[in-house]
Amino acid sequence: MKKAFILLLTLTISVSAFSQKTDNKPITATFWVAGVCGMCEKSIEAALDTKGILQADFQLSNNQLTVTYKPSKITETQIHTLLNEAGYDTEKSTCTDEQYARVHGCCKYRELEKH
Amino acid sequence: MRIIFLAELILSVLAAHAQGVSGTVLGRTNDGKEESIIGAVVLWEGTRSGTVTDASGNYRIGVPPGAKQLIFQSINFVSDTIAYNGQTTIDVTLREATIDMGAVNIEGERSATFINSRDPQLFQVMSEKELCKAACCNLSESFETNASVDAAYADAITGTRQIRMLGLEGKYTQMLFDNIPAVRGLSSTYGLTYVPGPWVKNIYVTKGVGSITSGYESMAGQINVALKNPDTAERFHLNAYAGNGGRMELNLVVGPNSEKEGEIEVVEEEHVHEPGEEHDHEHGEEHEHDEEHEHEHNHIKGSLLAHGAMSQLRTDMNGDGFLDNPLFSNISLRNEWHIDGHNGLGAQVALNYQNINTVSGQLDYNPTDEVRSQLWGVNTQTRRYEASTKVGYVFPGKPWKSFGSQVNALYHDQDGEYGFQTYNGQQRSGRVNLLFASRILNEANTFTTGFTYVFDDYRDTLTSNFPIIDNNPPFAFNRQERVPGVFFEYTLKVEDKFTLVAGLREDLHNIYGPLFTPRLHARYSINDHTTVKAVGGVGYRTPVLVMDNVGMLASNRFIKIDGDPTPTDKYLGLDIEKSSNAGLIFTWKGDVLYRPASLSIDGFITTFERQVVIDYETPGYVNIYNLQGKSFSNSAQVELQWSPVRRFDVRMAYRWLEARTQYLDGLRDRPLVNRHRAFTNLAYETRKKANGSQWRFDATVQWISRKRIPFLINNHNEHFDEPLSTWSDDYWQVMAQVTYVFKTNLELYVGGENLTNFMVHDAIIMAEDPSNQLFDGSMLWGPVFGRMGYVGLRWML
Repeated sequence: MKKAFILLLTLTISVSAFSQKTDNKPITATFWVAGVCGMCEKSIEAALDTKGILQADFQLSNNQLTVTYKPSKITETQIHTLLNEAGYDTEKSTCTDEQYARVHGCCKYRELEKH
Repeated sequence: MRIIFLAELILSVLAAHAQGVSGTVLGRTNDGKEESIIGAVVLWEGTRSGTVTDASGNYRIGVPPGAKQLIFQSINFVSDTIAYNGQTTIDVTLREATIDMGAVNIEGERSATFINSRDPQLFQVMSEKELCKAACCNLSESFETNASVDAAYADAITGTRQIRMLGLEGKYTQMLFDNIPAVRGLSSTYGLTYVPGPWVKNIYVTKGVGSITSGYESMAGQINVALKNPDTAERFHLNAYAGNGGRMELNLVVGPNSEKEGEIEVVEEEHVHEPGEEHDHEHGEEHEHDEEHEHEHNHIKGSLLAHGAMSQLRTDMNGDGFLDNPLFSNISLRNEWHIDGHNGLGAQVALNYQNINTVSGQLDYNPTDEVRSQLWGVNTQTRRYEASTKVGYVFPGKPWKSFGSQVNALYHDQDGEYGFQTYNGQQRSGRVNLLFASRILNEANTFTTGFTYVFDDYRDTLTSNFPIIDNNPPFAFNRQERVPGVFFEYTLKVEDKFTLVAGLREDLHNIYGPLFTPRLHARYSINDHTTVKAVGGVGYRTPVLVMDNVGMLASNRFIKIDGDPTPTDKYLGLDIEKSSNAGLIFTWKGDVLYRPASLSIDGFITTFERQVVIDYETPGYVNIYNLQGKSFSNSAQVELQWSPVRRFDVRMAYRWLEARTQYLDGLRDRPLVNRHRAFTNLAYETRKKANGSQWRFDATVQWISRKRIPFLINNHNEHFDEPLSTWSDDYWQVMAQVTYVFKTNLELYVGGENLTNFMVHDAIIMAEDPSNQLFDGSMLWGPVFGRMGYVGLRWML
């Protein structure tokens, strides 16, 4: 019993220790991103799976992306660029036709309605 | 609107240099009305060019080179594909979907196992992803990483695992396959081993009593296994596995042919709306994005699941002269058809076949060899045939009103030699369940009501050929059960805040008379993060003596059945078992350090009013009698889940329980039940590369506390605690797995189980003298097979 408890405790501490070494406070931003389907949601969140971004959650219902990031590692402008790179327009920047061509057939948000 | 405008703009440009097609998209609802569809998607098949209809249902689309077929789609309507031969006008009328097209849902970052806080009855959902974590050849082994379900050992000889919930044997947990009760009667102990892991899509775990719509049987819990079916099966999925214990396995899943890549991908979830499946409304959300979809007018879809496994390698790692794992050869097949008819009608038919042969016992035992068949051994042959059908009908224009039927039939035939005993058993079962669901006044008040008829015919005999003394008479356990019953389940749903499910059922058992089953489930969301659920109710179960306790045959114990002096129509004077169960579940979901986390705490109390006690307390005997006194199980559990960084999940759980029963000589802990269990599971995936390749790592560390062992004659164990019984050691188990994904459709995995190499060495009492009455392999408390490595592959097309 005791042994198990110690193990769990050690694991908890060690796990929280390495995620806590934040010397600057993370920022949470919410903004509009294009997207019409679940595949878009997947692609948008995957595009932000990168260093400096702690959490990215895209709500298809209102096209709001909530992203938490460390300002020392990444800027908000870079996040918009990443989304454009993946082929998605944001409220601040629009992607080029070449970038838009990267989105999947069912994600053609410029042509298609939400489905 | 803005997008439509934009789309029109682009298309008018396109149309300028290509000939165009235009037309109107109408929708015909189930009650016969026709109206234009706004925002229907119109797309050239195999291309990425498309448009949407305007406010009057009109569209105009350019024709790209090579265009052959035009696809029309809209939510709530059945998609249509029209061949293009140069027409300039194509008008279509889409039929309203007779099936419930749920919302678009995506797995996203969801963990492989998650606590459900929305359904008042459901506790937890384990996905296919979770099942891939263990070597997981069959269902009974897939619960290693689940705190609510313990995987215990049946006995030291046959090498089978059985599950336990709330400290109670698997027989007290109702098993459902696709909402139809399964693993009943003669398969109560081994049934789960008949289900290969790769066949499973999701597992829904309900703690405590389940919904009364599936019968009176769930006493400690309910586990509903969603098998892959024509809607969820991959087009082709092959899984091969080999372990160093000599176990080899091949699993195959074949689903309906899907579309080619590059075509539009629709993510609606098709689902036959059936009252008996109310769970599925919530469950739709777990289905994966890339589920294949049929666009053609083909409304009949089939799937085939096949499984073959064998082990012919004789191993004895713990050195007791007995095989650690049985030699076996299994074949299982399942063929399922879904028919999505018109006007709200849908039907499903599934056929199952299983053939299982096992040999275990002394290392050299061979049932076909004249000399070596004299050794102590177990040799079983089981064949099962099962057919089930489901028909669902949704009233036109009234999606809340539906009628459903579930009909299934089963034949199970088992023959076995267990040392000096011979067992033959046949089960013929049939079940009809009719359900009608509708609402009262408004959508906040819904109900499901119906009628059930269950027929079970058991013919099983146990004959002892004990060479020295023969005081075990041949037992005949023949019994026929005919149980008609009615039920009514009312659901009150106040927004997303509060849900109450109150169920009543009354069954008339031909042997045990009327059985009244009240049950209550409630859920209340305190806020966006916190949910409380309460569960309470009654459950019943008729014992199936030999197969419920088949572990007792792995010994020379004499079986003494001491039922009540009979009304002769009662099953050997033994009662139907009856228990009351109540529980409270608290769930919190939110962010910890910006990352998703969940915490669940629950407590359950189960009390038996009537029980058939299987008493191993006297060496050399199994005494079976009706409970005189108390029998209960109390349990508590804490489970913590957190994803501290992307693609890394940590799950920690601890459960405590106290399960005690009044035996002939006092109230004692139930044997071989560990009071504590704790585990930590770590899962990490690397970022998916552009070509889809990825590494996945998974490790589980588990601690299992000591267990009480009833008095055995040659106990070497010195820690005597209670008179006449001893305690086993506590132990640790570690398992780990590494998977490499090549280009999404091919995965290779390597793993190890029991990495601490912990083994029980004296698992079989009197292993040196199997003809002694005290010879006993029924008291196994830990693994007999040491460190195990395995490799496998999954190939999907």
